[in-house]
Amino acid sequence: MISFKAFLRGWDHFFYKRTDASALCIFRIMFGFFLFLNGISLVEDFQVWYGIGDNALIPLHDSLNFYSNFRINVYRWLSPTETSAWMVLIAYITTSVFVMVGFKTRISTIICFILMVSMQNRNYSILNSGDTLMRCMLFLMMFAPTHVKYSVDAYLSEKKGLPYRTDISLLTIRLMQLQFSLVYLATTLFKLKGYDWVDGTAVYYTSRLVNFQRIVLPFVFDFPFLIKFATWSALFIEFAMGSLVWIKEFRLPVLFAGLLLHLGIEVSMSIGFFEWVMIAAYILFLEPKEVKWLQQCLPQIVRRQLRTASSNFF
Amino acid sequence: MKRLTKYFLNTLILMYLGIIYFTGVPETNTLNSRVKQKAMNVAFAVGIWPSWSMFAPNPIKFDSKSFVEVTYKNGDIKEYDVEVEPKGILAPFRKARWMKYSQDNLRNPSQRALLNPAIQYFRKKYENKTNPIVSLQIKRKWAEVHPFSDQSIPSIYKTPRVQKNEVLITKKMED
Repeated sequence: MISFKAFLRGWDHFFYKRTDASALCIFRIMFGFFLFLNGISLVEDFQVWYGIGDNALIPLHDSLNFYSNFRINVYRWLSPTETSAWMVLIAYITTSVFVMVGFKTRISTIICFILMVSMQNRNYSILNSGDTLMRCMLFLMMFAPTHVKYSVDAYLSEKKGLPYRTDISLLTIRLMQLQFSLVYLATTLFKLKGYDWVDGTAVYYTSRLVNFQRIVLPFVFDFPFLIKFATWSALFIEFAMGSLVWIKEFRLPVLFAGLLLHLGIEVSMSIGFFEWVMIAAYILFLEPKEVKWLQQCLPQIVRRQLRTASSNFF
Repeated sequence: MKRLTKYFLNTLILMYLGIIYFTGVPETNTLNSRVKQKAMNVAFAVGIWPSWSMFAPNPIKFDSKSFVEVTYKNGDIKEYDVEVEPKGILAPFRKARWMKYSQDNLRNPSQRALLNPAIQYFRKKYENKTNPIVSLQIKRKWAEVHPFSDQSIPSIYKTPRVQKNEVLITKKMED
């Protein structure tokens, strides 16, 4: 039986041990890029989703009166004009760029979060799991020291002769990891409540939804045993990402299986930003030495591939 | 780190973990559902409300699309897809939003509040000064996927579908 004292020691070690900030800062860059893409992809349909009056599918006053409980929504305090609606999006895109490059990182992340929540409260009818995931991650990013490396803030600070400490407390990384694990665990539990995932037929139905199809994989989903294998594999990998990923020996194989699952879904189905944010977050589960290895190897691999491609081309 | 700061941080960690757990996972008993409601209120206020039931508990078994049928004064009837077909590199992300609106929410009986504003929007979008709109209808067409069978399943290219229609709202326009 574990003693209370030992539990507290374990808790401290788990949440407050110091680690290198590289993984968190690389995640900030990737995540900031997705926030930016999200903002840019809203521009063309902006009037329809967030416009004023009959130009929008949900009028502003309807959306403000829709919720009875308190919600963060800057539209409540802004004048109901097209200009102010556009200002919200422009400010969101600007702060997402600041998050990506790490300029005034903390305040940019806070503003970006407030604007994202406001836009999601302004029009809930277009939100998918990718939007939910980005919002929940951005919440944790507000508290994380994501600026200490690979950022304009770090560069300016170093120039002043006051470099940041790059070994940080694990706390916010752990909370992000726990959030990710919970997403997988929750979706597994929801799926176990139904029967299509349990009897192995779910992938048959999802693969035949024409509206979701991107690239149709021929033959793979035409055999009952492959359908069942794919369904149960997906369910098991999701369960593993929520549980086995915490066991040292299983961590890398589980992450690799998760990566294949998300790439497979991204290739065959069209589901917004969800898969990309999930894949980006895998870096938070890597040890500092594994991140270092990736940093050394990836540029070499990319350079080699580019050289081969250019020599074949010319 | 000071002991008091650590106690404070630990309390916040526990609160955060409690909120994301109770709001994120499905309810299993009465206590769980009571706590979930309270935790949900906090999650909405703070901006961390979840929605992790992707393709669960069962995936949908039909392809659904919403359409707008516009009847003009001269008797012309035109049908338009609610969704626009986005082009370009960001198309998948834009498409995901249109799909969510048109295929998931507009047709959903629990989202009836979306229908009247949609009527107003499409009235403005398709208005014709010389030939006014007489009535506007939003309807849904969906195709149910042939059920799975262990013996043989149809090819992914030739899966039979049962076509169905449903009128969601009809509005006659006043002069």
